[in-house]
Amino acid sequence: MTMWRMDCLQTRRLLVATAALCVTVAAVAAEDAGQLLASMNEALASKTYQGEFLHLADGRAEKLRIVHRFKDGQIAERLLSLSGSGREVVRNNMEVQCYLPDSRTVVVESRTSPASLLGNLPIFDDSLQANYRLELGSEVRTLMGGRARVVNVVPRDGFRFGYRLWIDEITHLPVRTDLSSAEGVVLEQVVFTSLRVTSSLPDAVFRPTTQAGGFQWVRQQAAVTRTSKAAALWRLRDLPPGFRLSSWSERRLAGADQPVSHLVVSDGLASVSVFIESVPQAPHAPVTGEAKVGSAYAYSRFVAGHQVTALGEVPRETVALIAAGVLPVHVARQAASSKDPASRP
Amino acid sequence: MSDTLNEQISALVDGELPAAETELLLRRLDREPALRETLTRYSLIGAVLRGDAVSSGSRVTLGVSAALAAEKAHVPAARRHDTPQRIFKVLGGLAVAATVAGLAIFGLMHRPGFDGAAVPQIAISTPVVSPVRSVHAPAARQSVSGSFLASHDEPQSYVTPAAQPSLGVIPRAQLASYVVAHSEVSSPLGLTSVLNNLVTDGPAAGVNGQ
Repeated sequence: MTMWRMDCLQTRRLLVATAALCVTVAAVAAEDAGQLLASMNEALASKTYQGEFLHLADGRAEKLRIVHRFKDGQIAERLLSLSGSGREVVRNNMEVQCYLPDSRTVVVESRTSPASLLGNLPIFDDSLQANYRLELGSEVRTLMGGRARVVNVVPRDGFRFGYRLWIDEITHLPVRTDLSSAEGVVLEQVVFTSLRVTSSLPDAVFRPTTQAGGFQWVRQQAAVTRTSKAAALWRLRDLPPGFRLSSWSERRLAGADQPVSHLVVSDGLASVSVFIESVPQAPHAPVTGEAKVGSAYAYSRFVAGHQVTALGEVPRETVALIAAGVLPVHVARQAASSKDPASRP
Repeated sequence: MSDTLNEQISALVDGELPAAETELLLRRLDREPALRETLTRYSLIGAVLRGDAVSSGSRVTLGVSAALAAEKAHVPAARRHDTPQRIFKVLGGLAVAATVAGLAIFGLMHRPGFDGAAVPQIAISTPVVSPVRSVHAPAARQSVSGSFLASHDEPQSYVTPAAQPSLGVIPRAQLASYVVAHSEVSSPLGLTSVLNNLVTDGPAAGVNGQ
């Protein structure tokens, strides 16, 4: 073997070893990032805290206050705008009250499961990492003077958003969260300017301050929840990669005259709700189009006498594709059989 | 306001401000409401320059055109190659919907007595930045016991405009109901709850009507 060939061989071995080391380091970093996220989830589920944060989206900076209490397995939370609109959300294990003073409306929604308030925190297992890459970032100083570790949750394609989280080293609470597109464009930022973990908070801080006399109260009439009908009548075709139907139910939403089918598709982290309801009577008309609520997108269309609305914190294309794939079972079967040459006469 | 500060805010809006400077600026934004207003203004200017802002009837057509152009650019690459026919079908649907919705909004905005601030903000095709809405200043402050509630900047009551009937759109209450129901099944990461979006004064949009 010539000297030159031996050099090549050694170089190759060195490259292979370096690559293996890089893969190992990345895997360890991802594991550490996953552990940090798990500890963050645990902190969110078990701590009592109050704080103020800036919510930056669409170029707007708005200040919000949050009070959150975990006591004897019960969650209580109040979220309040400090920037003028007066909107606030008060929620506990039983219901969510949403005060919208600018439209003089209060929406009250019962929770179908008391455990659901924090029961949907994502689990960072292998299936999730098929859609997202976890990266452990640097250690940084926070706005409040503490130290935080940065974790990046990077989407593997354009059908979902990414996250960058600053996790406090002591409390493990997320003191800053950036939501970004797959291209890395920041869409929404939640930045705490004050955050205090405490042992208890009095009931008084969870009472709404909005004077709602004369407001329209939109209440859920009865918590109708059946799980089989929606899945039996509707099909979701051609879901975006990584998304799967994760739950379905039929429920009564606040303000709805009839039960609404609620299907949920998820990639393990991002969720999209699909609401299917009979087209309401006049003066309401079926609508088609899209809407945006902060960083969440919705897409509505009219299908077989029903209003179908897909809503979730995912890119607009994702909700549009999911909504486009909603079909009544008999139509889906017809479409499938027409594609199958064997079924043609 | 200094030119340097203006440049920093502009860079922040464009997402080009270095992380260290972003944090410093966020500190100042926290303290100075005037800066937050400047940030909103810069964002609006940026949106108009991008052609994706719709703030008055006369701009609707332009906004729809720009948004439709943006549609093509925003289709995820993975899907673009997988099922082009399907994508174009969806985009075609969006285009028709956006155009019809644009006309509907144009008509709505020219109705006598139309008050843009009182009707739900409507996003034709996002990212859409709605016009700055009037802020309803607290009408009165009541003394409330408890140090937390008595905090300096928590409003106690609000003067609110009368709600206008929404024509051709899903009412905000219904959209809010969807969001609240969705919050029960969504998987928030950090504190980016979808409920934040209901509380913030951003463009709580109705669905464009047909």
